[in-house]
Amino acid sequence: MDQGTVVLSLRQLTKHFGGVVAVDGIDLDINKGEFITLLGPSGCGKTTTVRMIGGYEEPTAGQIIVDGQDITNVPARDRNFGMVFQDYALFPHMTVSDNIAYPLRMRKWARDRVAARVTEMLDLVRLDGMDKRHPWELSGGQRQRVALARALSFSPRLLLMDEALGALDAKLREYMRVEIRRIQRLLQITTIHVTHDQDEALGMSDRVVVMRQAKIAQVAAPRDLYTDPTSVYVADFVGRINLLWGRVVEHAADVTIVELDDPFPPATATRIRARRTPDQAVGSRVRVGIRPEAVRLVEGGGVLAGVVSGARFGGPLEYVTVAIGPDRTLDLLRRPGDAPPQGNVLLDWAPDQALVLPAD
Amino acid sequence: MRNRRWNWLVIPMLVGFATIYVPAIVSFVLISFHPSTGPGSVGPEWTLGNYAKVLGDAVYQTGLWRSVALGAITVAGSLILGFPLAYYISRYSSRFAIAVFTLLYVSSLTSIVIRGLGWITLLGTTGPINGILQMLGWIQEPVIFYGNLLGLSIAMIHYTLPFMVLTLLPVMHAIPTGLEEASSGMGAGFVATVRRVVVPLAMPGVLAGSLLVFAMTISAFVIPRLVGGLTLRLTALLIDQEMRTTYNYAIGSTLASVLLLLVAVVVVMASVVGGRSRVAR
Repeated sequence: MDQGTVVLSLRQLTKHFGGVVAVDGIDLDINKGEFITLLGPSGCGKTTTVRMIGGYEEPTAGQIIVDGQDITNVPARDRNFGMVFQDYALFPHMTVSDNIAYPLRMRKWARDRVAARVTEMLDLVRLDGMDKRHPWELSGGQRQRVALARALSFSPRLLLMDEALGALDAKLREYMRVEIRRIQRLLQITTIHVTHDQDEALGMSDRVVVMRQAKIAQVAAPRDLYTDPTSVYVADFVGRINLLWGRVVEHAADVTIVELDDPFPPATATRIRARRTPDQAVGSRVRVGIRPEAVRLVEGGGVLAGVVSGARFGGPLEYVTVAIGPDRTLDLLRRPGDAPPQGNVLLDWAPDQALVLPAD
Repeated sequence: MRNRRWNWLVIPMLVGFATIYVPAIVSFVLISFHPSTGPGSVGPEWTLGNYAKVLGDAVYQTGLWRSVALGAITVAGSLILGFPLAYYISRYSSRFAIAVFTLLYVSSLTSIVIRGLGWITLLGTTGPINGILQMLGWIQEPVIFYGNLLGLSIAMIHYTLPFMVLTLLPVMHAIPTGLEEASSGMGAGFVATVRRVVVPLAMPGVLAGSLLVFAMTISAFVIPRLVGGLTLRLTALLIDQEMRTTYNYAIGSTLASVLLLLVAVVVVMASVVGGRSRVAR
């Protein structure tokens, strides 16, 4: 991967639909060969963003720059980007090979060159022998592959995918994630993928762009996004997290001390040691976030005491819910033991696993 | 076919068809095989003589050819005007598009006699159309539209256009706009997208609309009588003449049977073409 070479830049990209702001001044640089995912709930502007990149939606303001050229006003047909649409948009009156050949014929490729490329693409997406079928004769997963082959057949500069896996069932979706990533790595094509599925975003991407209400909330590699979210929104949207209210008391050498303000039963420590976060000023109100898998049950000591209020078995892991106050619970994720824990328990976590997040 | 229990709802229509429509057709088809024995009567013996006469006589031949030509011209004209119109209305939900659609719909509700008379005024030698053409200097002498296929085609296209558009519209609406986006994203221009995506997928509507317009045109009577005048012979007018002027029921029925057969042939041809381009979903 030719890391660091910027292929696509969005500059203050904005889209208004009537009075509604769908995308609000987004800035983003995408590197060559990168697989980047726009992640967010429906209505956050991720689809509008990818549609503007593709040329299917006209930006209200801002620029789209590809290889140093401003293409904001270039029509979709001249952009040379491949796009996999949410519903695939396969032509129902054409066979699989005619669908894949469509962009090549539009580019006036010679007949034998088209045929060779179609065969190559069918091989790439493992659909050999399906060339004479029509889209309605294919399964959802096969249609998805045809859409991908069609989007890639003309060696586009960029591959765009709008909720491309959304219509598939869970097993197939997981399989296609691996498949798409394999093909993307093989072709080293810069890819922008849109999804609301965090597993998909974390599992496929080099970097994830988390969007919230028409803006970018955070851009980071999947691991960093998970371990180092910069806001409650991202922490909560990407994975599960326990969130407690508190106030910063002190920044020590290696930890930040937070006074929790939830009502707790007596004999429980209300000051906890959390990851050192000096950018939250002493005295400011914060949220403390702890991932369920960071919480451990201990015999003695611990950070908080609580009473087990429920357990949910989930195969290799089980969620245990612990009541830590009159209306406060904390989830922990652990390997199931012989029996789920019961009664009074003590909870502990490493200070570095307790994230100090701005209160919003 | 899931709700078979509602099938009885079509019974009233079937009864009406079976008791009125079918006997009417059967009776004139039968009459066409009997010789005329004077005004208003046919003989009992069977013959193919009526068909020989109708297909051999220059007057009837001309009428038939002219009916077919008028049908073809009207189909072509209403398709050329109606296809872009239906596409426009289906793709742009602007106020203008809605206004165009409403105008078209309302005009289809106007009395056919009034529309025919309207065209006579518009197309007359001193009418506004000739006036404009002369003002623009495109013509010296006024163009004669009355009593010929030119004026009649214009009036028929106007008459059938709403039917063409209303038939095309649901088919156009059913074509997902995403397909056109996908096409443009793959490098196709507007013309290529329309030709390779929109037209093939709109084909069922094109066929249905064309059939409807063709059948309407070759059986049309009021507008040909008004705009075509008394001298322009068309099969539908000849049928009326045989039935109500000369009382030659045998020849009238034969002409009607030929017209019926013609429509049947066109329907079969269209369904063959349609079957080849059919798109299953």
